[in-house]
Amino acid sequence: MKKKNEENRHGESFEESLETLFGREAELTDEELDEELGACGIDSAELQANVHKQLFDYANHHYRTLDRDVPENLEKTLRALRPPSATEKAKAVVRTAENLVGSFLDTAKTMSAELLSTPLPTQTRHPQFAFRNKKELSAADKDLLQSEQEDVDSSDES
Amino acid sequence: MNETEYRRLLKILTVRACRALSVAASKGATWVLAESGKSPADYAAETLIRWGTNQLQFSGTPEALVAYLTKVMTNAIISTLRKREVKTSRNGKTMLADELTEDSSSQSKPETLFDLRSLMRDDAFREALRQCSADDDALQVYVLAIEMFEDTIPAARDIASLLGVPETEIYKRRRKLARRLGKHGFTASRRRSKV
Repeated sequence: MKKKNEENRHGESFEESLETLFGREAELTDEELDEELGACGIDSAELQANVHKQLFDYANHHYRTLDRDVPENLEKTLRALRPPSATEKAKAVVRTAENLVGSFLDTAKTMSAELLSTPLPTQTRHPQFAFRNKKELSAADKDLLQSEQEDVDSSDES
Repeated sequence: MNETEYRRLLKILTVRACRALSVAASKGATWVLAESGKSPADYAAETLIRWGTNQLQFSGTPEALVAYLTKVMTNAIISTLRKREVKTSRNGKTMLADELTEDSSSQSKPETLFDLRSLMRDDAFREALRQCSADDDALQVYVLAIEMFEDTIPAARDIASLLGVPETEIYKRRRKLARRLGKHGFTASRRRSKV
């Protein structure tokens, strides 16, 4: 009993030291937890798979092979940590691809809508602009330009 | 607890194990981590097994369960580090943690190993902190501030008040120090275990 109390006291003292130096783990976001695990060379997905395997082996060895029921909490933990199956992984890949394509189409739609709603430069609204690089004008072109010019002149006069 | 909370619990336990082991590994002239025969994931798995198989009695909220299991695992780590052969193995002999026996000598008493004031007075641990904060003035100041609280365990607001910075800045520096010490401890441990 005395030894147990002593161990608890040491544990509390150590916890206090760790919290003073580094803060509480429970206050970290999921991203921060992943980042810290990464700094220690631990990949979160591998960690989950590794621990799941340890728990799975334990459940098999101590319960299933003896035809005993796996305790509820262990069963729940196993279910939560179970790595995704090949089908689930494939579905996740498809979902990611669909999201990517969806996002690409949305971007394209937004950009084309923006382009269509942007007013054209003033000079491009006049027919003359279309003939700016044309070297030889046909009779029809000349007639069109002439009529446009007359319109412009008449509006200037009024 | 739902499945997401279980997965988060695993991460929290493993980060705690990493922190505890990197502090223990940084303390003293040699590294203890590889020689203890258990990885941070092993400690987390063991704790989840004890919880899952009702070896630990707990009734409370999921938040309190996280704190409780974190405490249980920290005690298990301390218990492993108390064992005589962990010290013996620091000199090169490798043994599995399950084969270790308790050491009752005064030299290995956890209060001298893990009390904050003792830690901050330990040359090897200070050197590890120095290396982790060498290129970062803010971290160096943070470590110095903790050292300045001789007789008390400072809260984040005490350190913030001493340094004249917002409390959130202290949380930021704590997280940074944890990541750096984790990286430092584990890199050094792996380097040694290859020798």
